[in-house]
Amino acid sequence: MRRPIVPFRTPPLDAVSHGEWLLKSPNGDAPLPKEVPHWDYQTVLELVAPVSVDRRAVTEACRLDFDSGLAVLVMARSNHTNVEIVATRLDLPMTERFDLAVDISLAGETLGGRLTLETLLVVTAPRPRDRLAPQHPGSIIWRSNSWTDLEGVGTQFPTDTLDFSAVGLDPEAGWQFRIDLSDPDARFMSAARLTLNSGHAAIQRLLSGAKDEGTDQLLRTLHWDVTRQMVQAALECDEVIGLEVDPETTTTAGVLRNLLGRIWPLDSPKTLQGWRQTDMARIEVHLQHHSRLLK
Amino acid sequence: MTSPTLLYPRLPRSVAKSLILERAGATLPELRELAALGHPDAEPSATGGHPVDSEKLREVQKAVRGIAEQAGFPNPLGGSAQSFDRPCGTALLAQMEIVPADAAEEGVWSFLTLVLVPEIGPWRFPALAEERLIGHPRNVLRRTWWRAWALGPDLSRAPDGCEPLGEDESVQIMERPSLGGNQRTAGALQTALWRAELAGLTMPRSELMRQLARRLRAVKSHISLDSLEDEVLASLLDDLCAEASRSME
Repeated sequence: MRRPIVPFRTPPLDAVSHGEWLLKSPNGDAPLPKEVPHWDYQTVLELVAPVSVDRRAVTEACRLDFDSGLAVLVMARSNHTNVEIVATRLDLPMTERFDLAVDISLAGETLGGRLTLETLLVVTAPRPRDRLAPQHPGSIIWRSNSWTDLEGVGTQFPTDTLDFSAVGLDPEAGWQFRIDLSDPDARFMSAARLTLNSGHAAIQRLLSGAKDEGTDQLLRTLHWDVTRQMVQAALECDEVIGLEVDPETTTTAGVLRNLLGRIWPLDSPKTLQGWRQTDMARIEVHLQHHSRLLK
Repeated sequence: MTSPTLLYPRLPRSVAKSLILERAGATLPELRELAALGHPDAEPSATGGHPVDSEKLREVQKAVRGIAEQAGFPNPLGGSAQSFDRPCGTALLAQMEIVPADAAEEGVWSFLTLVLVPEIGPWRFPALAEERLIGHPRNVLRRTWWRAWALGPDLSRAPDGCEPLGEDESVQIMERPSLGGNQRTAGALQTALWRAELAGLTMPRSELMRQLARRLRAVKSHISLDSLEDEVLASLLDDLCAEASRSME
């Protein structure tokens, strides 16, 4: 917390208190971390923080009449987009002391980079008692900043969501995975895409971050299925089979080759292709093991 | 989850710089021939929406080219740069269906400028400054999209008796993130300038905007503009305009 240098009186530090921001999730509230690595444009951050204002102490210190209008505003700013929005505004009642649960919901589309949350205590309707009191509506008499970095630095799998029922796909299906190997040198992130059915209740729970046993199993099944489809695609593509493992690669063929190398570090792609023709079960069984399909 | 959005390919900076070097000296028709709907090194964000399809990219390409042609392409723009910038920003905002978070990505605008419509940047900015071609905030297309987001959507609109914002006036708002990043503040500044214009200007309008933006930033350090009712904010801005006019007398 810092005290602003402003041309009017400000309240003492103990007249206003601001608890830490908590990030809400289906699994309960947790302190807002310094990084939210799984954030993307479609994430809605739900945050809550306790704020207490001692109106008597504030107005006395600022030389304002007790019934001056006061409000708490939370401003959200992104250093990626430079966008600044009002996350919430709460007008304070005319009571001695008021405890607020400041609850905000931030859609991801205007954010990114460092998200700064600035809580302001503002005099919205000043009734000054002397010349050093805040005179103008909007005078900021107290402020507090918090921040978090949105987006992780790790590689993300190309994923989007779609309500399958809205586009004529099977509404009972959970996902579809597509990989275009017509140009094996195209970048994997452009050629592959996993689309989750946002119209299915189980997928909705997964997307909301639920941690129950069913969702956990769904996630493992999804991982297994996508890995399996990628392995199948790799073993059908001669360009993949002819490559060496290259940790720096970004091409579709290169990423698939690396996947084979991670799952079967001691076996060549040629050997795997042979198993695929003579003993497919051997590949399937190992894939279940590697993907931790069953806990 | 919010509604789906389109994700645009991002061209890495190193690739963008190579393209600029490779194409130095190319004519506008030659650059136009190099246009493409994709680039092997460009890819969209992994998550956060749906990758834009070729059809939409073709629409955007057609819109930008159409506006350029109406503004005189391939002839030099000369002093009429706003005849391209204003409709371009308005059209990009309406057609791209891109969210601000993706529109703040350098690679998106590098892709559009150097891959989708490679002839437009060198035509609009013949000096070929890198900052206009790479997707920095002053990129030829990026700056117009953000102006339309903050001040539009229709950048050619102005009340009777007033002119739409000019280049210098737009820059005064958009290159001050604390003003241009807040749609309400940016819009209020624009309408305050128009009110001053209707009341009769005592100095060049662009100079008034320069003074107004500077004074408003100072006020913003201790006044929360977002806590003010619309009419109170308008009155504050009118006072600042009057103060700026007096200071120049």
